[in-house]
Amino acid sequence: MLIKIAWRNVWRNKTRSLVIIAAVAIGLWAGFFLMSFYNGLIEQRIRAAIETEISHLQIHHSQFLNDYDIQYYIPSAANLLEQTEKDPLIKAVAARVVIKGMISSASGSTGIQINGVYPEEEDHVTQLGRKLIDGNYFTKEKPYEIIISEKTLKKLKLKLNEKTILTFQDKDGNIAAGAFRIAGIYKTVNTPYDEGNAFVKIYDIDTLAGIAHQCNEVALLLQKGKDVENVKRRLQKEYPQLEIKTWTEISPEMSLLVAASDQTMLIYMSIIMLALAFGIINTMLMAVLERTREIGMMLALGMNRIRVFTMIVFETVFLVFAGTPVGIVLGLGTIAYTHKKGINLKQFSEAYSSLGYSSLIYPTFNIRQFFLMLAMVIGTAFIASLLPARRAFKLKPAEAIRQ
Amino acid sequence: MLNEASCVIAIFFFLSVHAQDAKEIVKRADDRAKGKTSLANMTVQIVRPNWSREMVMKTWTKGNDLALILVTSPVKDKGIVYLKRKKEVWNWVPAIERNIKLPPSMMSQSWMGTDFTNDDLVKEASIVDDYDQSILKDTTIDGRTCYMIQMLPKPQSSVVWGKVLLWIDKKDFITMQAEYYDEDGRMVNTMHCSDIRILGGKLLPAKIEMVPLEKKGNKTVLIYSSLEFDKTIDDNFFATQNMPRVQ
Amino acid sequence: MTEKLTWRNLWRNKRRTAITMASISFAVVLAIVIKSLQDGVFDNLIKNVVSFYSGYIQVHKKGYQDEQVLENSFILSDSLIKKIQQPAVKTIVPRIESFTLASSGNITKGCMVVGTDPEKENELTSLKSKLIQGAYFSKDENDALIAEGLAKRLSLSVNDTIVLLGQGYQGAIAAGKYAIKGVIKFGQPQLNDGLVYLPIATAQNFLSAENIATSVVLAIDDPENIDVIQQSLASKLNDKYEVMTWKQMMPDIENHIKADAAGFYVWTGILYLIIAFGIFGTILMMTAERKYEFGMLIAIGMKKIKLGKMLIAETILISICGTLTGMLLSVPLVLYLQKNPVHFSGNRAKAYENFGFEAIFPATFSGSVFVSQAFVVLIISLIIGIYPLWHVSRLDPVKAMRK
Repeated sequence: MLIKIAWRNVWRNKTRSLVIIAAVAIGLWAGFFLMSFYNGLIEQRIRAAIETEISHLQIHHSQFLNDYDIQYYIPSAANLLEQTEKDPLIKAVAARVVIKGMISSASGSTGIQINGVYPEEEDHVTQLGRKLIDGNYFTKEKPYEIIISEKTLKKLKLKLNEKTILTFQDKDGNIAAGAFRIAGIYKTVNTPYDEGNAFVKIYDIDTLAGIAHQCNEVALLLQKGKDVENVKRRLQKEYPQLEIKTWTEISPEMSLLVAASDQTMLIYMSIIMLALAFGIINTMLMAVLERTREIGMMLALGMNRIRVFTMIVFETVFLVFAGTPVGIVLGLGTIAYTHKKGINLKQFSEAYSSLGYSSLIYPTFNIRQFFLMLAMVIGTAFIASLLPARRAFKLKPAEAIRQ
Repeated sequence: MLNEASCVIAIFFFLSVHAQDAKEIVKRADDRAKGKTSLANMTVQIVRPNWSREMVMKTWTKGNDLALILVTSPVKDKGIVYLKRKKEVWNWVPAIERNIKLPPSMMSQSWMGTDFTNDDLVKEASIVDDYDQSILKDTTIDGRTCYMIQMLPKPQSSVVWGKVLLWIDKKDFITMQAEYYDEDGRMVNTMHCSDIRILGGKLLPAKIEMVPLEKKGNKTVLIYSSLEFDKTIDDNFFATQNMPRVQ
Repeated sequence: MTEKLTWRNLWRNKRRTAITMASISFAVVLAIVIKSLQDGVFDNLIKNVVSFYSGYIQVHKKGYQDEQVLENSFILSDSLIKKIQQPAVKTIVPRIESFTLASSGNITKGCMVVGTDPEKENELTSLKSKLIQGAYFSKDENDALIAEGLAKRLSLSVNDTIVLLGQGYQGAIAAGKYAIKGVIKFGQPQLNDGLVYLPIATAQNFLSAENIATSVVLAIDDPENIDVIQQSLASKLNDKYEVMTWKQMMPDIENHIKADAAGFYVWTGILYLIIAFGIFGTILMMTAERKYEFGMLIAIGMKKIKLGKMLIAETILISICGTLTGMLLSVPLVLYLQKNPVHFSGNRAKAYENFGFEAIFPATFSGSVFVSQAFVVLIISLIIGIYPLWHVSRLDPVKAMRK
């Protein structure tokens, strides 16, 4: 009976009901959208780093990363490569010879990490070819080609097709050097990465380094990011003597990003919920005020206070439940649309164009967050209904009628 | 047809001999300045716009692979020794009683504050083998007629230069001047030799000036006060154990 | 006359006025709190990044930023320090830095020697707190602090001797042996793998560079004033020097922060939307509640325009009062959040701390935030205040009074 009355009340004052429904719908829409937006933002950054720099997993000799000492190349690399290339969970594999040395020109020199790579595989794993802004990618015929960053190019006052000398310590601790010609120039948004990395063909450098046909780093790109731990475990079992690191272990900044994002989102969501709650409270309070006479009448006619209280609560609950599907539809709709099209943040800030996380964000949806959001909104609305209901509860019928 | 062929062959022969000549000339000049072994007393002056410094050193060399440099003045640097063995450079510093092998990161750093790099100590032997030499023309430097020789680095040589020009005296095979260019044709360093007199029984420049063109007012001057050639020096002399002891 | 009416109207219906004002006040509080938190997070990020090493502002010899060599240094004179001293400058830290070789046994590694004033350096970068072994260095001794990564690579520990060899000032050879007093750990690998700290006098002696410094690093009292302080310093010092802010020294980080800020605009926009909705709901209800009253006034002859004017006055009065109240209420709230920031916990906190960041969510107390946010809400309220006017303009008094 109470429910019927509450229901009818809701429809009697359409404007008020519409406002609350809209508030709830907007709250839900905002919540979903923001969460997905943020997800998209974080995901995009992580994906960029993984797909162009650090990959999902990196494998080294257990001692290699201490000092990048060339004598610590990966034993049984051939086995490892064969196995990983066949693995369906692994999308691409790149083996490298990584050496810390110096790069020089007539105008000076600077420290650099020399990455000896297999051209095709490297391109699959880190999209090196796509990073070129001038010149060409590695060819099969020309020997001793090198690809350096625009930053390094400028620092050494070099131009395309000019030569540069790489100097480093070989496996036996002797100083080795080689002349390489600049075939291509690359640029990424990560300046420290650019400043520190140059690329040559692996077979042009492995002999010079004293480790012909070997490699000291293997990078894996997986089909799906969530398989990381799984693949790591499998490989570690098979090759216990090798050091296998996930992208969070390789790049502490990335794990920081992931860790921070959840907390930040929670806090912002709470604030948005608060705003929503107050909006609902205020509106309902005002509504109760508007209905003072009517409520006073009900009380005077003998309606139980508690029932009045419950009636208001039901009204609010109905409104919330009416608004919820609207909000869900709006939210999911917006997410689906922007997910396809992507949101271009360039118009908000030109800092993005120099940065290069591409300014395109694809909001993504997460079931766990969906339910969390739903719970938060409904909970908030419910609690918000209590204050106005209490107000109604406390009305003195005689005064109320007189309004 | 035979005439044309022999013409071509003659030209070819002539050219290759000429090229041989250029290489020979450079080698002769290089050997002359080095001998089989050498012992030199020299002063090194570092000149800068705001300051200058002078050091006195003793240098022993044997062939292209071994060299030892002992600093005898100023007092703060007395006893510092540099040892070159093939491609390695070692540095002994009495103040810290340590002998340190220079890692690749140090090789491109300046040697003792001069305009030479540590790498130059190692690389200077390569002018014969790392380049293709050819004679461009004859010119006069300081009243001496010289071959002007163009040296282009071989494709796989690890030298940073795009081109090096040498002026070598025709009569006495003294390297009078050198110019170092990058691949853009920009001149980066020049070296000028002067004060030609008898040193160690040969006619040689007693003053060598190295000027880096990027930095105005900078130069390094080597002044030889004495030179002795082909004295017997044991290979063991050029050993890290000898560095703290050498006088 | 209108004012009297306005005032009496508001005063007579205390409840109604209170609820309306409350919705505006609350909106103001929310907007201020969220912006203070946002600013707090950014400022804290900058503070963390800056206090790693670079400080907010640095003074160098002109040209040092482009070519960081010992020759580009200057004399640390008293007159220079006097010129730099300003009330806005909290700490002045002189430094002399140079690339050097560090050696122990057979291992030689490149490192960066930093000569600095131990106590002042600690004020700037909390270097003492990064000590993980041994004790902090002091300017009365000649002992060194070594970064953890470097210590590992050289197999050195407290009380061992580190040998340093490099190029000194004006061609001198820099060679010295120093006892290690303590080991420090940095979150950033670049710093952790390469720094050696010496008391500045010891370092100057090592480099044969008496009274010379390569940079003077400044901490300032109010980061917001950084550009003003930079200008003032630049004008006091002649053009032999360059005065640089962290933004000029680390442009990548500035871009990164700007890009993050762009994302926040989206959040803030949505928050304003929800706030607006809350206020709108309240006003809507209020207007509905007063339908009878309006109808009556018009019926007895009040011109609609006059009614409109009265409503405008009411709106303005309520909005301003609400805004002011909101600002006042925000003061203790923001102050509290500033002094007792929300702490992260668990894995998130660890990730932050590994990096050397504080795991907190701080708020900034800034007058301009108060004013700007209050202003926005004020504008929103005024715009929403147009609704009652529109309603009145369409009002049919007969219908209105039929309640």
